[in-house]
Amino acid sequence: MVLINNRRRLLSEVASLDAWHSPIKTGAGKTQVSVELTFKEGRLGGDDEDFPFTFKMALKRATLSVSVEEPLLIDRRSIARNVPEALIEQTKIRSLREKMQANMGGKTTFGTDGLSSNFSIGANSSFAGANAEETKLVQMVPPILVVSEPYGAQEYRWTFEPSFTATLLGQPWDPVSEPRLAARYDFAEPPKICPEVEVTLTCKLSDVMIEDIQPKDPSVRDRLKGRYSYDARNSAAQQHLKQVLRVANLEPGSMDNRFSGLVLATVMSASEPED
Amino acid sequence: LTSDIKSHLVDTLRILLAESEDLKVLADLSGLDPFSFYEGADLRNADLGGQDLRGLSFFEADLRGANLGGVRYDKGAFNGSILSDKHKGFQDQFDGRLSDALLEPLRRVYMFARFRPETLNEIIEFLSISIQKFSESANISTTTLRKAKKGYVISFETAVGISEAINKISDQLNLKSVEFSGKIQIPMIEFLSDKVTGGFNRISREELLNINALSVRITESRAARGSTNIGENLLWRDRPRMLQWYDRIYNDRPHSRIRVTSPEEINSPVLPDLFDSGADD
Repeated sequence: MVLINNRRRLLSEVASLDAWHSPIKTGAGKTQVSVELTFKEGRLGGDDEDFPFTFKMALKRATLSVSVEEPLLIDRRSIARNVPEALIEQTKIRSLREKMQANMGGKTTFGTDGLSSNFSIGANSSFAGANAEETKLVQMVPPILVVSEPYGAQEYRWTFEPSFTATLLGQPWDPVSEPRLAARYDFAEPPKICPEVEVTLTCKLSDVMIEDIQPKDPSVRDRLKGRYSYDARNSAAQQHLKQVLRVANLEPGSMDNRFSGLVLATVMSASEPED
Repeated sequence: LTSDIKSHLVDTLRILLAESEDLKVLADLSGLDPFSFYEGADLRNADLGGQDLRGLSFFEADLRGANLGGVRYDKGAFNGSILSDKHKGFQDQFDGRLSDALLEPLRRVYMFARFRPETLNEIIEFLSISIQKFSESANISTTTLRKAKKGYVISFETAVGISEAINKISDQLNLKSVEFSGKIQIPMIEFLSDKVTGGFNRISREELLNINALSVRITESRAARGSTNIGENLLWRDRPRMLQWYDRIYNDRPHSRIRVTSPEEINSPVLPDLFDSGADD
């Protein structure tokens, strides 16, 4: 079951993870936890002799969890919740409206005869919409959508999905200016054993996308010429590679449970002095 | 999988270059358990028309745009998969597995269940065991077993009994065939909770797993508070919505010293005030 150690984390090629926090302060002090996360996609297997092919791998979805150990508590007000910015652009079509008013001025008299005025506006249908101020909603959509979710008093989770691309790419936030959360330490005495802050990136097997398996041997590659990308054999081969990587990714001795998430990366947050 | 990654990667290539496009043939080439091989697979736009997919599970697989015309499949095999709208008829409400009914923390939750009749009948038939013997093994009456076989609502404990009996009997008969292990892993149970107004609410599998996690957390919280009413006392069970309520209380007031042991206490006029003045400082 145990594969060669340096390949165990092959799945972690799709993301890199780092985390740090400010020193733990006594007496209801706040400890800021920052996470640097980068999603990548790339062609793998090229420089590994055991791979008879190269392939593309990326993530469709992933979940980050930050958990703090007792007696630290998550300060709920401090959590970075990533609400997308919305800009509202209000466009007044003034000239058009003025034109319409001028147009109607001679023809109808408002109020005295409701029927005729309605009829007149209907006839000038091209101006009907200009009656109201036109409001456009322009939303700034980040490339990665982040949904945050509490998970008990000691853990918080963020789930990532691409907004307009097929897979996750880049950083979901600025790790320095946007710390993920602050942890509270409510006691006056410093802790005897420093409580740990653990950061884990997980995904489901179905969230891993493997594409475009290309045999390294040119003669073998030729046999795939003209084949549709959605051929069942391509799908089955991609699935097989996913299963192999999943097992290679498992911690030695861990249970083979296909319903549990794949752990892509785990780091212990390091304490860093503040400036 | 063995320790030799190289040979597995050769298998990947073998599947890629296979003659057949038949999913069963390709799963057999994988050297892995064919039943679960396609779980979580990306099968978008695949042409599977006319294939025999019995014995395969497509849990969490993406089959949007795939051609499923004329395929043969096990009922429940597409539960939990992503399908085009026109193929929604391939799914039904029985999305829970026997293994879900056997999750220990769920025994502390007050719930109900219902089996897909054809699957349960098929399994009991496959085990070639009498109704009498089976119900004895499940520790239920033959009347209750008949109810379950007809797809009526049964208690969660009955579902646990039936699931345990299926596992026990198949172990005794040493049924290790691929066909049978697929048959008992297929989703076949619908979990339910009772409504205040009468009748039942469906609990999806995802909700069920959340309830399971909640149950674990609440038992831990209660133990941490020195509650006397935990774990081993299976006579006391909470409704799923009570678990959510407890979770909110415990998490919003992590250091509160208030112990909640029963809904009767919660309904007492004194406690709500105590919660409001709880230790949130």
